[in-house]
Amino acid sequence: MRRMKKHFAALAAVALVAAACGGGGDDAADAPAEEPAAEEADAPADEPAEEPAEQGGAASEEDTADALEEAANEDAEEEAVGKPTSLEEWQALWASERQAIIDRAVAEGWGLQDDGTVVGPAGFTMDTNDCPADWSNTEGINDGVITVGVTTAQSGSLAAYGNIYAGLSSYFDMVNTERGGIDGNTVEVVIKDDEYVATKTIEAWDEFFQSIKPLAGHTLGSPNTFAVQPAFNANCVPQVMVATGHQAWGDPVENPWTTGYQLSYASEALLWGAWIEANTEPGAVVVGLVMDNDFGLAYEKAFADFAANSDHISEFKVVKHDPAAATLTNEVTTAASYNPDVFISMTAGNPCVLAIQEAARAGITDTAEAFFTPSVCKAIAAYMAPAGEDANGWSVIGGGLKDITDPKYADDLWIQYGNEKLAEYGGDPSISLQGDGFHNRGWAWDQMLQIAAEMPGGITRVNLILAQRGMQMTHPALLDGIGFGMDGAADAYFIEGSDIAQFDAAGQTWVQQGGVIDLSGKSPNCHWVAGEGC
Amino acid sequence: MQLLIQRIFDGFSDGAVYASVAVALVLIFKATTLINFAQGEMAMFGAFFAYIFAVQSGWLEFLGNTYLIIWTAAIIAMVLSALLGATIERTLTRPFDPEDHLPVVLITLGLFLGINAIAGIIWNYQARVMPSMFPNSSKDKITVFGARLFYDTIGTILTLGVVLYILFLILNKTKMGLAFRAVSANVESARLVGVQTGRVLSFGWALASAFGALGAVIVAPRITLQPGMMGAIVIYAFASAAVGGLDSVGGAALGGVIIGLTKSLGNGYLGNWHFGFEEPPLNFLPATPLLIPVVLMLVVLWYRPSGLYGTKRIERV
Repeated sequence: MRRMKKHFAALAAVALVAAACGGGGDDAADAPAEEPAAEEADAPADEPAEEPAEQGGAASEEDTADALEEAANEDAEEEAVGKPTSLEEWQALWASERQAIIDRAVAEGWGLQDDGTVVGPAGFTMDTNDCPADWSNTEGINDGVITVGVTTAQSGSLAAYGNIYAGLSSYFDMVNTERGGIDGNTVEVVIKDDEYVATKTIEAWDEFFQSIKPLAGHTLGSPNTFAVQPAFNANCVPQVMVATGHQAWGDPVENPWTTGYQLSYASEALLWGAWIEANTEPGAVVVGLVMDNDFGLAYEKAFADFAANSDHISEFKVVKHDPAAATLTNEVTTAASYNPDVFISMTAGNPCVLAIQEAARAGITDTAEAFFTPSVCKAIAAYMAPAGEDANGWSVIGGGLKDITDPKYADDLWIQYGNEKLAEYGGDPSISLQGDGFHNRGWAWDQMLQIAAEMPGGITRVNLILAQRGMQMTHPALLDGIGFGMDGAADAYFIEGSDIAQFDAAGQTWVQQGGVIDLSGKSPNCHWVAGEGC
Repeated sequence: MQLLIQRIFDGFSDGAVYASVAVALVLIFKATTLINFAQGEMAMFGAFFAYIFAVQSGWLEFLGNTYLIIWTAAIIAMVLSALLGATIERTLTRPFDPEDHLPVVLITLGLFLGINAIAGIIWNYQARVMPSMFPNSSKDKITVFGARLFYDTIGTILTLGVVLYILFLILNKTKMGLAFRAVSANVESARLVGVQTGRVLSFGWALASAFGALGAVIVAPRITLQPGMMGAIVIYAFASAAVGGLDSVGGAALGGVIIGLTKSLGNGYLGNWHFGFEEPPLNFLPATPLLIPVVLMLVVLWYRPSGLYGTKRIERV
């Protein structure tokens, strides 16, 4: 018995030490090189304000402030002029937009050249001569089946994000059933659970690359995407529309096979800053509750850079939390002890809910002028509803996406249609994140594949990248006025606009404040250097 | 001063949660000398049982009062969890040689994964709102020197006290409890004197499952109800049980509070103290909250391998 206990004690100690050391470890250990040192930082309040530096991955501070001011003076309810009023009109619009992209591709000679180089829009180039010797442009298309690999969290504290891919799978079930797939090929989405642990993402992609060999892949999470980005680019496999807003994905030169999708965290951080400058008293103390991994650090770095140049923000205090934390009580108590004027939750997954609840219990929401939840926590059914009354009054820079569980979109044509189809193909429209996969990402992947299919050479790995990098379309799941598209080497970010909204817990809805902010084409590309930034 | 008191309250708040799961771990260890790695997941399943009765089905709505509904649902969940625990013991662990621990440990690991996956399939990973057994809005609190002590923390601690008392009565004042303690002390001797060890083991699993479920029902409103809810909690619960003593119910409860306080005070203060440096040298602590509790556990185990209140065993050779 005693020996048993000793054995258990030793085993438990080793396991727990590993867990303790690995708590935030799916970030730094797996990032390409050195990660920025964890800053328990105050922005240097008393240092002279420097000339605002332009950050990669986000519009300039001046453009951001101007766009915010303009949006504040607009009406949130204003209807877009010429917006399609039926699904047929939407289909016609998308068909014409796709055709315009294909016409441009033909006119500008986009595609894989005889010498192995790739010509794309706005100076975008790649060189497939650097790809592995056995690389194939059409690997992953076999017997009329296009295989796409996905890694995501399906367990652990970020497991809810796995719902995105339940929605995406339902979308392609619909495409396969109703349209016979794309260009005669059915689309099979193979999903592996990485638990939001970067080492497991690497394991999963080793298996994908060696045995399943998909045409393209997709990853969720900043640490996870960083962990396999070099492998994707070395293997010349498209890492498409990754589910993370890290600014690092806007790098068409060094990492041409990786494309981002959502509003960058840097843009979001700058919008927080611009909003704070416009709406709070000077000398504001801002406290950020930061998830301690690449995801949280992206927010932290971008906001710290902004705060350092701001005369308005007197201090930016950071409290970090373990991504796998069971509770955030201690962390939020520390945050409350700084008496924040503005509290920003820079977290994801279940901690989104915990941050809201604990901030209310710690009294932050009674005393702070404003409190923000990040765009990745916007989903109502997933993160706001579980927080109950405590969610009332929280603000969000929402990234422009319509939430399918928000009652104000009940009559929205695309949401309505998508919800019916989602339910028909095995999904659940009461789950916000399934809508992210179906209405939002599913639509975008569909357009990408359709454009690639019509380009010279048809659906290939190269054409998937070119289709994305030349895409300029009207996205039905985004708010009117939010642009959606990239332009080769000139613009590497799909979504550069956002809404600002405040949560109404009684109505379980986001109430948009003013018009949308559109910064399309204004975010410089970002070659991310670990420890330094863009 | 206010911050210090608040951190102490936070420590008790988290500690009570760890303690409630640690007690369940200890019950199974006492019965089998094994750690049930699936304890947290079984407790989570129990919380979902309560959710079905209290929210999803609306079966208890006739009771009218919200608290009456959730308390009733919690009791039903404890009963169902007890049955589940006993069934698992009877069907999955008892067929194996009790002297050979490896297969049973592997089974509990398999259960950990299996129960989590089944819960995900049934209830999805989207967080759900679980009604609390105690008033738990941000206004339901008392204030002590500016620090906030919430009713649900007080309720959790009181419930834990009642649970410990009930367990004391069961284990010390009933025949089954006597048999349980006999099996816990020495299975072979208990069998030789006619104790039906199989039935006692089932009883142990049932008891642990029931009280584990109660712990999960209490904690779910604070950490949201979803299949992964107990994953991080159970690690602290293991540490609590090890600190308090793996075969001591009261020790495990105390261990939970010690771990909670250590985490709150250690990370809150050590992580922010400068020790004369420009930057706090231990500023990584808040982001690795498990580190200080683990170091504490190692220190305790180094000096007292049986934990603070665990039984020191002496074997005749």
